Amino acid sequence: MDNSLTPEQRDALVEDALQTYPVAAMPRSITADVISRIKTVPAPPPFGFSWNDFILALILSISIGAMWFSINHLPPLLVAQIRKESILFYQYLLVNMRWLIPALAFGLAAFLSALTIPLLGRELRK
Amino acid sequence: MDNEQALLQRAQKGDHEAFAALVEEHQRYIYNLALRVLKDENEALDLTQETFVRAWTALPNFRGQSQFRTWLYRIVTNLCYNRLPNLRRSLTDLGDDVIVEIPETNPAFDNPSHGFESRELRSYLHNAIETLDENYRLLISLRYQNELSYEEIASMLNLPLGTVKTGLFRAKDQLRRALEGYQEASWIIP
Repeated sequence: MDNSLTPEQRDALVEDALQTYPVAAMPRSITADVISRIKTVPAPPPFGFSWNDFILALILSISIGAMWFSINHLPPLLVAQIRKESILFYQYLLVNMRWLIPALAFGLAAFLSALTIPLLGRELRK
Repeated sequence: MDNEQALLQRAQKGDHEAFAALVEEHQRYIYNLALRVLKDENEALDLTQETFVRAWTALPNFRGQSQFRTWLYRIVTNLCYNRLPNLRRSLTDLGDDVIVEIPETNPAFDNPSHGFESRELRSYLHNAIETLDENYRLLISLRYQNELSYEEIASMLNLPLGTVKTGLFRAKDQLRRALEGYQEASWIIP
């Protein structure tokens, strides 16, 4: 008599064992321990905006508003002149300093990546 | 779940009783996960406590992007990484080369898990799970005991989806081999 299990039977047995793998019972509840420990930790402050948030938002709003106002209220000739000069400057950079734009892009990317290092460090230390 | 939401909101305002209710509800699964990975009751209890204390201090930052229990699993897993420095590396080293998936249920197949021998086989396999490497035990516990989807596990552990699938595939493969070895040794299966 062939006593061996087929691969399908083996898979089914493994799957059955995984699905019936019991969740371990706790030897004792830890609720009281946790609560006594957190009572020594200061209560978490409720979510709120800090003065820093308000100041940053104000500066950003004023800057965006000022930019929008300037663009819409400059004399059309001046706007055209600025546009022409910026295109010429961009063309100049492309011709004479081809390395500058990729360098700026990579530099900005490196700077933004570096900003995440403290946060990542904190996450890793958790 | 609405009740949990209400408890969370109260706990975020500093209500200890609400947080105690959350601890009571989730502690068993957190403890189980820690125990399956660390294989030490005292360490697992210690880690479970630490998880909830950290959850309390980080509660103001919890914005409900994930479920509360998934968030707790993330905390306990990070604590496990601290205790077992090689765990994180062993998970990332799994790679994602296995693309074949073992179906998790096969309704067309008559499951042989009936009778004394099958109970014995099941028990043997449960013991075999205990002997797997810690990275496999973590994945199995998250998938089968905490009932997270592959995607949730991948997102929780910051691993590619393929790595999670590969890990579970290899864990099952090791269990299949263990079963083959057992079968060759005993010949008790009818």
